[in-house]
Amino acid sequence: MEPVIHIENLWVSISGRDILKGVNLEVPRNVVFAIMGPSGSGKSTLLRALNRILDLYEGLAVRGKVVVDGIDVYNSKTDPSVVRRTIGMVFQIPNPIPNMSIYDNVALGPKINKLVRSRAELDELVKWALEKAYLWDEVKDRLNSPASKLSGGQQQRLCIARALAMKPKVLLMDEPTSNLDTVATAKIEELIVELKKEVTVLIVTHNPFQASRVSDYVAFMYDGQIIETGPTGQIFTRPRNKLTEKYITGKFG
Amino acid sequence: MRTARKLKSAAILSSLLAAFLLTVVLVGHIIATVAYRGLAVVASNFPRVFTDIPAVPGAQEVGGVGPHLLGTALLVAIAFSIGVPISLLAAVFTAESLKPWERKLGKVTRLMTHMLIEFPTIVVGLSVYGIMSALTPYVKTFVPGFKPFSLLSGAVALFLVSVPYMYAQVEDGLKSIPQHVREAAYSLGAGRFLTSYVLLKYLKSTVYAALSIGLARMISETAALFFTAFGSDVYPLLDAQVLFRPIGSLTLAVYYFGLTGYENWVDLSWAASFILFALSLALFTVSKFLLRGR
Ligand SMILES: Nc1ncnc2c1ncn2[C@@H]1O[C@H](COP(=O)(O)OP(=O)(O)OP(=O)(O)O)[C@@H](O)[C@H]1O
Ligand SMILES: [Mg+2]
Repeated sequence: MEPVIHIENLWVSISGRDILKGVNLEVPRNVVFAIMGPSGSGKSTLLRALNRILDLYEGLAVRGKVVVDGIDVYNSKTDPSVVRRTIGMVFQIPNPIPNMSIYDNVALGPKINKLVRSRAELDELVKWALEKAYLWDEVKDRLNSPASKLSGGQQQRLCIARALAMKPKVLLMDEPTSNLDTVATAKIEELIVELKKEVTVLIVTHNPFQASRVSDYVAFMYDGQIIETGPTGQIFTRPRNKLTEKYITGKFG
Repeated sequence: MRTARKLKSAAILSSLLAAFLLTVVLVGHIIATVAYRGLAVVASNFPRVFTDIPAVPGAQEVGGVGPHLLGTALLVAIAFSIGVPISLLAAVFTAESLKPWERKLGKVTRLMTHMLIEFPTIVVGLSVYGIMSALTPYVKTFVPGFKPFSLLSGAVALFLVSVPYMYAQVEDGLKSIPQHVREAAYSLGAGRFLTSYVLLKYLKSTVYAALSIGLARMISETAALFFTAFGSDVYPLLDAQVLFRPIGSLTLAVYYFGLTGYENWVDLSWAASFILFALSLALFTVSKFLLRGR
């Protein structure tokens, strides 16, 4: 089957400094794909390159080819908004719009992208997304209260619901649990596994255990390159690269 | 050591107290004077003080500041209704610029407006007068009534006094938004203007505060109007030429009537002061009301 993400020799530099140095990656559909690697290796930059959030950075230069769900992301004729609505993103810090209500946060994407034609349809979609994110039961009685009143874990699930409400083909998650406690983390991990029925999940994680729990494939990133990739079981039992082995056994600096 | 710390905190406490008392006394005195002198005039000439034209100097009655009230309303309505969208758009454009040339243009805009904020407003007024005078011979061929002393010039001057401030406040607000909130909006497929709409909603209190202070600046501006609106004590004809004729304002009324030696005109000056004061108090209350619970 066609991979949903295809990255070919991707170079990214910011203000003259090379950050991604020839990344190659193929991600199949409906899997959870984990990206691991030491701090500063370029994991977040890689995710942000996929949905062109990097465009917000000053002094950006991008070379190479990125195709997501058939869209040539860096083609000059491609509208970045179209890319971004195909790709949902969940960030390291839960970032609902704080003074917006729970409902409005989830409704924002569908509204911006005109995905619905009526209020009833929007209600339906918001409910669907919140249910998918395992949040509906906790918030159904207070959809109109501000998102900032939720706990950290709930806010992160709200952000997942917000991303899902756009019915994206790919969901990018940048260390989604690094600011959460173990209970909230377990809930989100369970959710991630469930989500691959709907979308392809590309998740950055610092935690090899998390990667082994949730992912089908793993890529190991080091100094702006992907130096090893394969099925999760294989990477964790028989890594080919010395650096990967050091990282997953926790012997990394 | 301990006594030094005690001394220090005593010094801080007493200077705080002194500053507080000074503020209370000064503000209290201003409010009391304006209320005492102005309210008396307004009350004894109510409601004609809002509609009449000034009485002749030295007369028994005071008349009213109707033309000046209307002038302020027209000047501010024009300058504010054009100034708000322009300052918001400019703030969005410079704070959310993506392309390198936009960032450069944004930096220049920011520098210029910050300079303009520091400008003495009388200089702003004088510059507008200079520009309008220079334009007059050319514009006159299309618009026969065009004059440098006019409602139009006054509105332009108020615009220049207030818009840089509103722009800078909103722009600073946008810049202070955590990057991850901005990225959230962009990641949902919003373009720059939709993103800005979301961000401005997030910034609601900053935007309201900036706009209401901007409005207050327009209402209370005096010096910028000397060489532009110029002042007038009669009602303007509200015809097609209204933009090109001199017009009065409450602040100019305070200034001119207050300087004369005629008792009835000095009273009128106090009445205008009181109306200005009441307007700003109303504005203050409305903006507090809009920001309630924040
Ligand atoms: N806006 C920026 N301007 C300049 N350099 C940047 C910028 N963002 C990231 N970098 C640099 O790019 C490199 C990769 O950063 P990135 O955030 O992608 O790493 P990461 O693998 O996600 O690290 P972490 O695990 O700590 O999140 C780092 O050296 C960082 O300093
Ligand atoms: Mg990162």
